[in-house]
Amino acid sequence: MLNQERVCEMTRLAIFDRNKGQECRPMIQYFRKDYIAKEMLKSLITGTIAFGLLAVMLLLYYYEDLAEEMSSIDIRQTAVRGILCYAVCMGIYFLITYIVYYIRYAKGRHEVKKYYMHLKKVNRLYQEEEQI
Amino acid sequence: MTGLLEIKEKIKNIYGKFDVYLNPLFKFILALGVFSIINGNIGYMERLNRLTLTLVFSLICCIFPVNVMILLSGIVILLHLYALSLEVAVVACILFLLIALLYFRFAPRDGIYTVLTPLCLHFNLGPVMPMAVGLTGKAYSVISVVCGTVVWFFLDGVKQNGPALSSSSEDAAITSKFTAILNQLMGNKEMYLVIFAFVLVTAIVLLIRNLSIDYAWTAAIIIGSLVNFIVLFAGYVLLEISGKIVGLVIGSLLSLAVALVLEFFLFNLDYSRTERVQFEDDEYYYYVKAVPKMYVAVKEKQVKTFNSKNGKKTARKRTSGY
Repeated sequence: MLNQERVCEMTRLAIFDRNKGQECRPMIQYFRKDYIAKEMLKSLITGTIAFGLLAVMLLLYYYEDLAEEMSSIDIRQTAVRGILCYAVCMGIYFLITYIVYYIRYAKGRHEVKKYYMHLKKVNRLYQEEEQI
Repeated sequence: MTGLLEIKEKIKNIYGKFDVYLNPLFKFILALGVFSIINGNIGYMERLNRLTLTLVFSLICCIFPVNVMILLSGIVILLHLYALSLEVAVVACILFLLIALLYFRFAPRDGIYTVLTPLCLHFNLGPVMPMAVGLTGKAYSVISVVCGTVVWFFLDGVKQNGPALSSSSEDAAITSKFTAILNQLMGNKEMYLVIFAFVLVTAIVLLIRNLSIDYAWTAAIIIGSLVNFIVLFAGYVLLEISGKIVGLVIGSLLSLAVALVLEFFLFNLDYSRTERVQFEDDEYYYYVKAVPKMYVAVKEKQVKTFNSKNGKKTARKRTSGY
């Protein structure tokens, strides 16, 4: 005969698996520091590509003005400014990444804890059924 | 009101029963609308404009998550723009990549807002999106609305300047073309105005709907609509953009109506039966305000049918009552 309580618990587990399982998997696999470091590394790659694309876009937009002033441009100073700009942009991007994934990890851990609680309950119900 | 609530309950019941079929159907209709609008407005590659292809794309989208729809529509847009001009396609590709790298890396589930925003803007229902985000979403979801707005203004600019940007117009240098295309984005004051209005509306709606006041959602919708109208109206006057006022009035009224329909389906409370209770435990004193939801209770009614030949028959029938 079906154990109604166990079916309810298992349904909850299945719903969690379907909706948040994939999202919460890293919270089981990694410690917080490792998880955030992994995301930071991803941000370094995506942020660098995005900065490059943005630079290309601006270069194309101001190409004609730049072509006119090409002879008077101090290349060294421009390069330093470019690097500074990159550093500032990446700094902001890293900060956003840190905040977003810190919060996400904390919430994910909370969800995982709830999941384990339901899992324990299912195990207990199974054991009780076996004893009967 | 009771009649409307009965209809709402019926719709909810039908959706609950057939959601397995209805969700793909809605996605199919959405995808069909998106691809038809893309083909109808910037359909420069004639091979892609076939109805069969649109139907195939829509069918693919109805099976997969919404992000696949974004990916496919992005590819279709790029192909159309490539047919118009390589330069336009390059700029569009950079723009899409920037959006994907900077925003969708953090919030991949917000894709639906980015799809719906250009669609709403196309039908002059732009304010619906910031209000919907303010009512149902999270504050950061407004970025996806902003992304959708940027994409719509870019494509609208391309559509309006299509002949000048096309590959056949070789009179302009490549760099001038790039400058002209990027001007659709960077020099578009109307776009900045709309983005500012949308962000402001979202913030106001979010703030008001979270207040512990009666009719918070209705107040949020009405104030949001008014703010949107005032900001855009003042902006159009200051920026001397003509021919937009009538559209703005009609769009604001339509958006208000759509937002109120959203409220009816998502947040319908009966404030006349509000309960206020106070109690305490060891650590806190609680002031609780409980507002019941408006709903139509489904009750069972016995309908007796008398038949002289076969004797008495009883049938149960579900009826609604307030």
